[in-house]
Amino acid sequence: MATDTQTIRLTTSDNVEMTVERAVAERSILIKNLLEDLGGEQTESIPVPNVAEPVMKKVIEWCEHHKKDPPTTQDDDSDSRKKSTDIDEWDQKFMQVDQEMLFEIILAANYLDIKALLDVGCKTVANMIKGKSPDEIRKTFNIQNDFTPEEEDQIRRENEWAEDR
Amino acid sequence: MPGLLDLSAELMQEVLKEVDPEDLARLSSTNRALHSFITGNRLLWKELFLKTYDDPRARPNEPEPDWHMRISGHVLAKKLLLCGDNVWNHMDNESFFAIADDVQDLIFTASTPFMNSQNRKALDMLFKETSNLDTLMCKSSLFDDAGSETQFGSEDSKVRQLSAKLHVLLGKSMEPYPRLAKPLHPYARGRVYDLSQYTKESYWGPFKNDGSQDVDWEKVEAIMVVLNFNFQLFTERVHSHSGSLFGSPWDKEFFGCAANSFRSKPLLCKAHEAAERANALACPSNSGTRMLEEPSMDLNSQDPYGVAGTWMRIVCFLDYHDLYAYNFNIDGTLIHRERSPPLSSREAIRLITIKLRVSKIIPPGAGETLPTVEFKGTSRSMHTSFDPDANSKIRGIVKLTPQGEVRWTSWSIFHGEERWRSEGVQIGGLRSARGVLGTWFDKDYDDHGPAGPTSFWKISDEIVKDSYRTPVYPIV
Repeated sequence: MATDTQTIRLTTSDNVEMTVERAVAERSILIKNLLEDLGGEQTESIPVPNVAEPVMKKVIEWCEHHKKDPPTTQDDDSDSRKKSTDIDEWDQKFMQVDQEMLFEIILAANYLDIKALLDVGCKTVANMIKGKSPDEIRKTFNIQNDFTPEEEDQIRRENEWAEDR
Repeated sequence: MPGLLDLSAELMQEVLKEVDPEDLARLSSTNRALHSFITGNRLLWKELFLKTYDDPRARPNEPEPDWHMRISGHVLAKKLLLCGDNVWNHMDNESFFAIADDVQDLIFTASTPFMNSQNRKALDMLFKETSNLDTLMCKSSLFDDAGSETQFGSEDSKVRQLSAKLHVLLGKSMEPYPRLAKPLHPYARGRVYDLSQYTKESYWGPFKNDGSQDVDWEKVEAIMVVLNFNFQLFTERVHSHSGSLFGSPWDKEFFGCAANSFRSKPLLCKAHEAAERANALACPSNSGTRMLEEPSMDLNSQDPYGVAGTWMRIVCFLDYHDLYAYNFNIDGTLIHRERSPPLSSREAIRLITIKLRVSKIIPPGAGETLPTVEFKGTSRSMHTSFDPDANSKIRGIVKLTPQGEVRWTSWSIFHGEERWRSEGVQIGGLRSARGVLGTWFDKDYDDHGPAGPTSFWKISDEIVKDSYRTPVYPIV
């Protein structure tokens, strides 16, 4: 039982110290490997220089909810990912954040090596693109249209197959 | 603050893998940076393709196809088919050809086993709406005469041929609901038994009447419709008192049309095997008690068609009086008609098991890519052992036509004399599970017939020795 409640401390990029249950923090492969490398009881706080506190809080919230998920292995992504195009309901709600936070979560998940969270983030972005016209996509992501009219014409022809009939 | 465009290339790839192809195309038309990242991103298009479709390469070490082009073809066909404007069969020929090509591509590159194929799912989705079946599979001239009010033939001969081919690849007959429309099978039967269609130029087989060996898919379609009808009647009759013994490879839509989709099944049940093992233990030197033949590895390894093994065959025939009455004037001359009238007479059906062995490999001649394979074998009726027409020897050849179709020609030999000949084409090409559809007729091309439809498909690479009876095998 002792290992279940074991905690560790993390220091975020903005110098905030957070105490986290070890099992929760180990959803991050980066932290898990680090803890394994260090071995034994970890008393010192682990620096996480790429993630600020508000983002880390969100990430920890996600990890807590998914604490009991079966661990993902490095190469099981091909099949399990292919088949789950949907995001589960809790994750959907979790991802209802502003766009800045969404991309911060993606960056943090990538840095901390939390594959399942990265997937949810990527799928959330994909869903924001789904069914939108190029103009709507530009608006959504604040993208500058830097094509000349001729280029735009050519690209429209290139992508005719994707247009609705 | 980070945004979509600030992602590293690695993370951008991760995100875009989750985007549907159509959305990806629209995303690529928003901005230069995204356009250059997406267009020509081979890995991205490959990943997206393999998420939804089977790998079209027979082996992973073959050169990679243009994934982007393939995916856009599939998406375009899907959009054309699912846009809902196809009700009542209205579709211009250009769209028809584009979709037909794409659907064939899905069928021919489906992975084996077909049950787990992603292309199967894609096809299911395309044809969930039955009006799409009418639009694609019901445009041959057969539907000028028969079919429902939403099925009608095309004026264009290329459309008719291609549509008939798709119908054959589908495998099940597009018979309309009886009360609403004219059933297909009497019209198909008329065509199959119309002896004026059996010409020298068509080799009396399912080929065009021009000597080219080009497959006439409207003939193949008629053969399939007739055999489906007869086989269904037969299985209904048999099932009523002996349970489900037989299946045919046409039962499942689009099944077994990819090259190399055939998978051998063991012919002996567990009890046989146990008996053999016990026998071998009791008397190790006595290999003569084995029920299976040792295959001729040398010849078989050179045979690209997968001839050697056990096959199931169906032969149908019309009572000769009916055949004669349908085809000849009172003065005995053959009737030549513009279009074969419907024929409602019932036919007889024979199920036969054939054991084939490769007898000779003839290396490819000039301009040929594959060898010609000669074979010999025996055929045995599954109905009654005393039916003299079903127990015979068989010999034949299989080779590619100039158009690349697999053509089977065979002769049935009774008491040392050749009697019937048959011509057929393998649906889906080399070593397909679907097997061969074709015709049988007098070996000397007697103008007075008889002739009829036939089909055969492989069950197993194994052969039970002639001294043992081949077990009746449930096919699928």
